[in-house]
Amino acid sequence: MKQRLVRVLAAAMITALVSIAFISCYPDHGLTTTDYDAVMTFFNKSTDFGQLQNVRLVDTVLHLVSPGSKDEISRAYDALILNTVESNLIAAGYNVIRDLDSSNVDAVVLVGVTTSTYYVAYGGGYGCYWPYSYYCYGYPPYYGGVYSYETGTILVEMFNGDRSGGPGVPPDNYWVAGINGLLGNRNPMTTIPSLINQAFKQSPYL
Amino acid sequence: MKPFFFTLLLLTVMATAASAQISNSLFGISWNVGLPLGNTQDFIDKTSFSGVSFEGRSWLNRDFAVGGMFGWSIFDLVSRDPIQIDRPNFGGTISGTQERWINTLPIMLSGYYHFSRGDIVPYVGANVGTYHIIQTFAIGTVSWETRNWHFGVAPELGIMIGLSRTSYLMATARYNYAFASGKDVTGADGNSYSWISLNLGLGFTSF
Repeated sequence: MKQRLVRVLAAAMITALVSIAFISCYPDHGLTTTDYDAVMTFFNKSTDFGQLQNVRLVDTVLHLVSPGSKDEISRAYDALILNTVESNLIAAGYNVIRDLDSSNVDAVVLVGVTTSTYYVAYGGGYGCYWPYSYYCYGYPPYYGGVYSYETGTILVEMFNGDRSGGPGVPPDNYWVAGINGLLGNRNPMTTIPSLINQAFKQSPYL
Repeated sequence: MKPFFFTLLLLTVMATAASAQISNSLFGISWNVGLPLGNTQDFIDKTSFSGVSFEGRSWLNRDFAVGGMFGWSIFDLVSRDPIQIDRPNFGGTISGTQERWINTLPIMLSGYYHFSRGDIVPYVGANVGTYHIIQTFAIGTVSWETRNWHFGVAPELGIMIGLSRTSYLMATARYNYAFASGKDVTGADGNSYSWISLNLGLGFTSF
């Protein structure tokens, strides 16, 4: 009876431990697309935001692309981005001047966007990652492949509107927000405002 | 990774050799539950139920045994709490779903003192060796990872309960301490790790 109990216990334990071993080093947490959104905000501690009243919102969205690259970022959402930033600035109590160039402002807010595409290899032929290393040395067809995903980033920066330092002298940064998330298979008309609103929500000092 | 595989091979040979000596040696396999402490807890304040360890020991005399162990425990956590940053010149907030992992792989030499030999065998042990620790932090679409080898010690208390002539139920509590080595995912020094592992397993003195 004891021997049988030991065998059952041993079988159960080995099964459990093998199961654990087959869980990858990074257990799947079942995240969805929205879980890959991130909003980062940073502020300069020497800035007295209460003294800032007139803020110029630069009335165009900068598309940040690599030098020599073609700008393939859609402008379909530029107005939505700027309008959402403006409404949040107004809600925070600022007098927003929305034009390309104006003087006598306390701060300037600039918005930029960029996108990136990432390619991830899995399986044999591309990565040879364990436990797929077998396929690196096996016979074709390989069972590997590549998938890609695209991310979008919105940067909102508030800096000193005083340009008395002249050209070449960078203005003091007051506040910056970086918003990053996955693109595709989601509605930008709701996602973009939601994430911009979050940036302002987590910056109550503005 | 070469030192890891070499040590793994060495310990496997030791465990095999130990188990081959039937009544004078033991091979054990255990399920490990990890309770994080210190820096480990600061990073992941959640009990780990994903752990396994293997050990072999050979008795030098009635009470003392030496051997080796290796294992693998995974601490992981999903957090949606915002991260507050407070530095001298700037502050900030990072919000988003964070995934955190710590993979620990102890590879150690062991010494044991057994208080009796019979159906119930309480013992104390000391393990000295290395931990390979992989710390990963992911938020949004970016992640950071560090891989470091740490010198470590792991004192333990345990009890073996005889199930049959050649098998034991083994229950141990092991305090793991991996000394600081390299940098953590934030780039900071002082990345020591510690946790208590509660292990439940089976030990065989022959197959």
